[in-house]
This record gives sequence, structure tokens and C-alpha cells, in this order.
Amino acid sequence: MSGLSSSSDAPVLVVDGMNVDIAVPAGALHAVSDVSFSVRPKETLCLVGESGCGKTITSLALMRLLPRTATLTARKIAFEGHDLAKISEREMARLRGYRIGMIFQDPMTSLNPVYTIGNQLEEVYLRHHRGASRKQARERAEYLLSRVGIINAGQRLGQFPHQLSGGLRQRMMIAMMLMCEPALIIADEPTTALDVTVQVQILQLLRGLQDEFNMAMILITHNLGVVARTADQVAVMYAGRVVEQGSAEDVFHNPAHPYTRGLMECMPKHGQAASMGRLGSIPGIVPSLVGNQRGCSFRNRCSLQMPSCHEGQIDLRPARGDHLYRCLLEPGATKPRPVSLGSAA
Amino acid sequence: MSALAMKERPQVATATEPLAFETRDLSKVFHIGRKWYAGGQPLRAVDGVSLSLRRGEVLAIVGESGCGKTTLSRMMLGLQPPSSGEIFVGGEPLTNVDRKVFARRVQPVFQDPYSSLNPRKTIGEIIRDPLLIHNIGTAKEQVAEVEAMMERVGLARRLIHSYPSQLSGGQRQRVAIARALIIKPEIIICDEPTSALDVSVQAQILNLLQSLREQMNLTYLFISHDLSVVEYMSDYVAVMYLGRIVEAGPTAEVMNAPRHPYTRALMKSILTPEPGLGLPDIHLGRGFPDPLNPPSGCRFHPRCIDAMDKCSSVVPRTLTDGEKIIECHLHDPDMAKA
Repeated sequence: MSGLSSSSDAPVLVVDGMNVDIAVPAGALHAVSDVSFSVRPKETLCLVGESGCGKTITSLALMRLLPRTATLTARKIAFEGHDLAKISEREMARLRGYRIGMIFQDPMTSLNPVYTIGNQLEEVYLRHHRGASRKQARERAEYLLSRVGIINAGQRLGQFPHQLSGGLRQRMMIAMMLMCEPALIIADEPTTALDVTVQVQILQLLRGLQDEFNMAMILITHNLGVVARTADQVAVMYAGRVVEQGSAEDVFHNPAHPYTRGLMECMPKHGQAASMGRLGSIPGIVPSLVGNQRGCSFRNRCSLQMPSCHEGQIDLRPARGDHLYRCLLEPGATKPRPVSLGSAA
Repeated sequence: MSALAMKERPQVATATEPLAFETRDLSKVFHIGRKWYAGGQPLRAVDGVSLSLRRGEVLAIVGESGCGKTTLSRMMLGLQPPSSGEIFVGGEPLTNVDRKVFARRVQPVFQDPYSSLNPRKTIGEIIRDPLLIHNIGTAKEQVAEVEAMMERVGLARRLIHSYPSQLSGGQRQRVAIARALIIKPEIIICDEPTSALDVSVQAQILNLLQSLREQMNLTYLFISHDLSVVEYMSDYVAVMYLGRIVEAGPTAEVMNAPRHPYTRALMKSILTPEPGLGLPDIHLGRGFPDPLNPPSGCRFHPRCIDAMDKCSSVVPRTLTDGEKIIECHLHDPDMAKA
């Protein structure tokens, strides 16, 4: 399934047919349905989509940090010889932060305000390296802080999170994630809260570290610019499903699904002023995910919907090679398919 | 909406018509730390900003966090008195007048529609509030006005008795816009109005703001850090750095040919959705300087790749060329000679 066959490395993570259902008073909410992907070392997979499309639930499911009302099922979630869907909570706790690192959107709320930076970094190391001394942990923390571009690392170790700017806090989160050299990073909107200039610097840092430490990354974002500039592979999610998946070049140059095209038209482009006409927009809102899902989940917002969009299950199918999409129309179609076989329009 | 898009832009004000707004040498100094009797350390959040805009136009302010954009907008809204300088709206001075007088003419649309609406009030009550505060019309007229305004911003009438928690982010931002417009202000201050929204919803709100501006001849002060949104929305753009406007001018000119090294770095940091280009190198050094202790000379010089010797000692002059403003030694003919 992976888009890049040039890389000879085996995938670090293979997700096959993952579902997450959340119990709500009205029944089961299908937050994530039938999601499959794989990532190789040094490769970046971007999950894109709007709020409520299941990006964050997907990442929480991989870390097994779902709320108690949620159930995770999958044919397989293979990571370093474990099946993340099946291993015990105890085994999972050993992998979390050790082999799988995570970076969240808002570094201020994911850091503990009453402990110093040094304390929080050392804790990660000591937790996973039994027998390591506090001195070793501190040395590693100082090395990594300077590695992620923080000057006076030694002095910073004694400071508290509130004494750092947003960009520095995000660098500190990255250092924290590196304490154990994970094989896989899950970054959930790591630059959304940052200035554009800082965003570029943080993304560059992550890219460089990925190569240096041989890490695979799953980057979750709603910013198509970030996706285009960092992703090797892209999975566009809508209403809990992957609607399009492929290499960044394929998805951006030949978007196959009407939703992907709609998203791209919503973005103001360089050289486009309001006097030249309105932005494209996708009317309507994301459908409810409670109960049985039939047909295409995007149909109510799609300008190309046909009667057949309401029925049955629509599977991912190839547009070209490894480029997959979930739509009954031909890839990139701009008109609904002519009605045939006597079915009424 | 498409028919409106084809319509011509509203007429730009004639020479006799006063400017929609103007700020003259506006400054705000905060005093940080120490004891109240010791005065504290001055922080010049906004430092001598002069801007003006004609009716029906959009001025965007861009810059990194901490550059003073929000302080400027708070002064424009009358929420914070300036330390020095003056604000004129429609040619009349509005410095140090009552907040209520200000609010009739200048209204805000804030970033986060989740925290800017009172959760205990219905949509109808929220939109009607400004009419009650300013005592405009009878109860019946007010309700009619609220309904008309809801239709105008694209909110279904059945939502009038709903609470903000029942609405989506885009709908909430429409409520905030309706509330701002109901007393027919001249100027709307939009402080990052779409940064909390999804891209598809952002497009809807930007389109709505453009349509309303054309229909009601509104003037916007548009604050954003998203430069592609700024390029789409604004006629003029002002780039702020540590409280100063370092470059300003017509949006198309500034965006297509940025002159100040800081503007160039900002433009470079836009991530356009073009795969294969990789991440840009913005050469902006690390970290924003401490505003309590701003660098000497040109405030941008420690991060500037084109910095010369005199940049660290001589404060650059404000150079005006038609509608364009720039503060940089590189563009100062006297400095370039020396």
C-alpha cells in the first residue's frame, strides 16, 4: 500500500482495517471506519481533513489513548512485532513514549506547569531506562535541548514551561519525544498554534531529525500547505474514512476525489484577490456519524452526487497505481456520470 | 452570491469625503514589573503608528505574535486608551471619548467564536444586545432588525432561539458578524476572524465578509497572520514588527515585490500547496527579540540577512513613496550612498 517502493526498508507501522466506534446515547458513533496505511522509516504520512473527520481519533487509537467509551478494532496494527490492537495495556505503556513518540498541538497544555523542564525531560528517560542515573538523564536532556536548537540548554533545564515562548515550548516537546529515540512520531497539528515563521523552522527541525534518527512520522494537520511541503504520502480523511490516499504529488497534482478538489479550491492562492471573484467553498456540514453508514459520506455536500451515491458501500479503488480514492466517478471527474441502464435521475 | 461577485467594487471616496479612519502617531506604552510607585519598565507595544484608510477599503495588519497587532486593534476599538497620538473616525477625533461613542462606529469580530459569545444567551438575544445598549428602536423594530440581519449573514431564522453551544464554528462566527453589524458601524475590526475555523468554513466566512463590505460599504481593519488570506481580503497591507510599521502599501505591490527584508521573510514562509518544493529557507534566525529590551538602531537588524554596520546604530527613517511606506536603510538613498 505504501506509495514509495524506492525505499527498501520495511514499514515501521502497518495499519490494516482500523475502526473506532464510540458509544453515545443514540447508538454507536463510527469515528474511524476502515482506515489502512503504512509508514516506512524516514517517511512522512500526512493525515488531512477538517475537524471531526477522525484524524485525532486515529492518532489516539494508535497510541491506545482513546476515551473509555471507545472501542478499537482492526485486522492488524503491526508495529515492531506487536499488534497494537491486541497487546495488553501494560505492554502498550512500555511502548508509549519509548518507541512511539507524540507531539501535540498546544505545548502549554501538554506540559506540567509545576515541574521544571529538566524534570519533565528526565522523567521520560528514567521511566524507560531502568537503572539509569539522574545524571545520565540530565546529560541527555541537555544534549537534546541543544540539538533541537535551544541556546543555553543547561540554564533552560531549570526553567518552567511558562517562561518559554510557544516556539521554544514546541522545541522542548520535540526534545522530550526524542529522549528515548522512538521509531515512530505521531505529531498532531504540531505547528497550528505557532507563527508562520516559527512553523517553518519547527517543520524543518522535524524533517532533519527524522533523517538523523531514522524515524517515521505521522503528521496530522488541516493545513494543505504544510501537507504539500512535508508529506511523502497523504491520506485525506472525511467523516471517519480515508477518501483519497497516495503520494503527495499524485494527490496534489491529480486530486481524484471531489472533496479533495473542494478543499484545494477553498484555499486563497498567491495572486488571488477578492476583486477577482469569490473563493470556492464546500456548502453544508459534516454528516452525523451515528448509526449505520450507507453510501458515500460526502454525497450531501458534493456537487456531483448521483442516485447511486446513496447506496451500498463504496470501496477505495485505484486511480492510478498506488493512488487510491473512494468515489464512484472517474478520478478527477468534473461532471456526474451520465445516467445509464434506465435508472431515473 | 455569484452575481454580486461580478459587480464592480464600491466607489472609492472622493477627495472631499473624510477618511474612514486615521491614526496619527499612535503609541501605547505598558509599564511592566517592579512596584507601582517605581513606574516599572516601559514596553512600547505600539510605537508611533500612522495609518489611514478610505471608506469601503480593507487594510490588513500582519506580523508575528507580540508585534503589537492586537494592542493596535484594542485602541482602535476604544478598549484601551492610547498613551499618545490620535484616532480619527470619519474625520472626527475619537481619542479618549466614551467607549459607547466608540462602539457605535467601530465594532469587533474576534478570533474565537467559542469564547466571544455568551453561552447563556440565545442567538436572538446576542444579536439584539447592541440595540438595547444603544437604545435604538422599539422592541418590535429590534426583533425585525435582528431577523433581517440573521438573513443577511446567512443564519436560518429558526436558530433565533438556539444557544451558541448548538451552533457550529462557522455559524457562531456568523452570529458574531451579525452582532457587529446590527448597529450599522462604519468600521469592523476583524482580529484573526477565521483562524479558528476549518478551511472550507473559512472560505464561506471570507466570502461573506466580502459580500457584506460591498453591500454596506464597510471598512475593515483585518488582522491576520495568514498571508494568503490577507492577500485575498485586503486592498492595503501594513507589516508590523515590534510595534512599528516597517512596510506598508497596496497589497498586490507589497506581496509581489516585498522590499523590507522582514516582509520578504514573511512572504517566503507561506507554505503554498505545491508538493516537491520542500520547506523554504527563511533565514530569520531564531527567536523574536525581547520587547522590553528592543535592539538598538533598526529593531530588525539581529535577524536581518542584509544587515549593514549602521543598522545596529542608526534608527531607519520612515520613507514615503506615494502610498507606500518603508523603514529600512537598504531603501534609503542617503544611507546607501554612505
